[in-house]
Amino acid sequence: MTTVAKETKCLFCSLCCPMAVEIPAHGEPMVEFVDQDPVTQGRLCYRGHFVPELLNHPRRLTSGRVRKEQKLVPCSPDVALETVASALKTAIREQTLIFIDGNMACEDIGAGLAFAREVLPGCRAVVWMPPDDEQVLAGIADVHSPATKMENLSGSDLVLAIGDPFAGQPVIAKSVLDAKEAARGNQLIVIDTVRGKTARFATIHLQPRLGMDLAAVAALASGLGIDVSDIVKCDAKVLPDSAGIDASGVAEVVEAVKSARAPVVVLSMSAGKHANIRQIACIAARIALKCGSLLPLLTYGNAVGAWSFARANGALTTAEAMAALRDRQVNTILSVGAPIADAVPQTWLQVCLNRMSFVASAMPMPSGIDQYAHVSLPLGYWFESDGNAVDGVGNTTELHEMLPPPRGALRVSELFERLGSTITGTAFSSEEDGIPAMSGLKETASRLPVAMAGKAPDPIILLRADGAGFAEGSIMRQCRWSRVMEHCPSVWVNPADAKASCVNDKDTVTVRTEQGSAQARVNVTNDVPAGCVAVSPNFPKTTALLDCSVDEEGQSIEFVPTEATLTRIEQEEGVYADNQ
Amino acid sequence: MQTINKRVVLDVDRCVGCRSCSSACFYGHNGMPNVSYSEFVEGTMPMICRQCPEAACMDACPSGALKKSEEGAVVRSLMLCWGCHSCAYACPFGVLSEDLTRRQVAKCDLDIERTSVGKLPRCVATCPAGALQFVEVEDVERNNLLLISGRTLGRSAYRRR
Repeated sequence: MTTVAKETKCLFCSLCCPMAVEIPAHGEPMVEFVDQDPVTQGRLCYRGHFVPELLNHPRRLTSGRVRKEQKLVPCSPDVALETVASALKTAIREQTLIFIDGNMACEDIGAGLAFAREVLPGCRAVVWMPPDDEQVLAGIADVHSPATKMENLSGSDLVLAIGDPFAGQPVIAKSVLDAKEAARGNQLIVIDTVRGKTARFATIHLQPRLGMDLAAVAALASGLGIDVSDIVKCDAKVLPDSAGIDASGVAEVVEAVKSARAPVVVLSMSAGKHANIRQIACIAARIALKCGSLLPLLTYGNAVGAWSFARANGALTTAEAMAALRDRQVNTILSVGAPIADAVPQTWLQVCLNRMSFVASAMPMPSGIDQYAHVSLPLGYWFESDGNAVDGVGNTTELHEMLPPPRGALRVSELFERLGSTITGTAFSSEEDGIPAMSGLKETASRLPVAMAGKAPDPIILLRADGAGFAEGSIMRQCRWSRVMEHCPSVWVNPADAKASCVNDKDTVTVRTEQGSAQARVNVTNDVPAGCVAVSPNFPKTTALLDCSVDEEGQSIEFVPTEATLTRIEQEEGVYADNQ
Repeated sequence: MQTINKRVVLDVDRCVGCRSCSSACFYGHNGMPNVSYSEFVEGTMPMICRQCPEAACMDACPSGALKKSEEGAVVRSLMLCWGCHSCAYACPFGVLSEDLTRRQVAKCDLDIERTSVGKLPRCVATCPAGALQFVEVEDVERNNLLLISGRTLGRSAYRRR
């Protein structure tokens, strides 16, 4: 046997970069670069290199596990499947919630929704997505602004980046920088609350106050003559003041956008750094509709496909599912691939999960939900089955199997089919016809008007930073490279705040918020403005410090910047032990 | 063996500090990243070995672990390196650093397995911003690429504001 190279698309973000994995007859699989691709020319960000490691990761689950005497004890997958099937069969349907992870092939998501619809009619299903993805998609859904692809960026003379695309989706960097350097006068304008990776390259950086990003984007829209009164309940004239930015700066950006030949709005917002993501996304889409085109960048590679499937099948949104958990409408959970306890590690969710009468999880590797699960099933990754995904601008792309799942682990569609057959006693097939178009969206969902207070926050505010972290929770933390590169969480502090809090660079501190406390190492930097500290996003312990807020109606879910205090601790106590 | 007359250089005007080169190098070298990083006011940037013709690190190594390969790269033998850090102290450009997991000094080998068959080194192939380039040694001077510790510096004044 010789080395085999297999190509697929990377689903670690919505750019869906082509990638290949070389699988030798003997030895470790290795990433190979698809350099004939005209757009990426083989470029990959750090996440793409995780795929070979995950294929043969020593912690991969290959057996079922059933809880006995407070511990998950290994058992055969068949026994685990039987246990889950009998629990789901007897559970009250209206109080049963099925989480289906959105970052899988559309066929797998369709299988999960078909299982919920046909095998357990009356139960509720949710296609789980990161809160920021869901809010962005809800915001842009009904605006119908023209979408653009990454390859079209090179023809743009103005890129308006809202957020920090170079941090979340680094592969876009070359296209953006090429566009900026193509001709003298081309511009890269960035709207971001902190001076992130993209802002360092900006010709103009509008830096609104924390929590006031919406005011800055609304001020720009108003300057362009776009009506945003249904979103921002505030006099347009005071918007720059509310945002804490100079009105002349806004005017300069307005003039640049108006005079640009082909402006592109690039939307990349990480949760916890921006407030009111849905409203910002909606206004950004309106700007794109009026002036140019939109390139939304999302955390999940198949976020658009997942969103389309969910809406077409009447599935709950992540926000609605979280609201149902919070309001005690659920007592049985089947979670397939969804890292809910890692990505939303807040105390209130732990309380909700603790009071469930039955929790079954299916994951490729041990994860945060294990401590609440009664049964655990071994699952395959998205690169272990064939299928289709929809990238950030709505193009369908093919996914190919790199290797079959390890012996014992189940493909997602196989898991639902076997569960369905066991519950119904007859063969259950989950095959869906095609992928629904992005339709059936809730027209009213994207509004949610916000009143602007126009007041700057006084205390130190905590938010999530744009470090190497991205796919927080299980995958990121279980890959060796990320553990070597960032073995303990860090907290970015402005020099002025460091001086006021009596902390120095490399000190270990306790970061406290209303949500709890965590230890982190200080990184004194001017990248965060005074009055603001930022924590690494890929540590569940620090993400848990943010306020994860779900509104009353379950319309929106957001990580909200939160008040924080820093306390320096002695080095002996402060050594971070990452024993996960 | 064919001598490799190319070097990895970094265009600082393009590096976004995403550390993808480190990830590529880490997995390409069995869990030992040969790309170290330095924190600047402008962010994090990789430190790339410039494969000096008269390498101070090689002269300083007491165990003979560093030697020049037939392809022209200064490479380190994992078997001989005992992690004394003499090479790291000797390197005038500060690009050698201790590996956190193995307590040995990581050293760029120009990804010889790939470059010897005409492919790009992993760090260059993966670089999302196009900041890392694999260029002929002669081209460095011909194209006015100013090299400092394996870096190319400012070719266009208006690239960054």
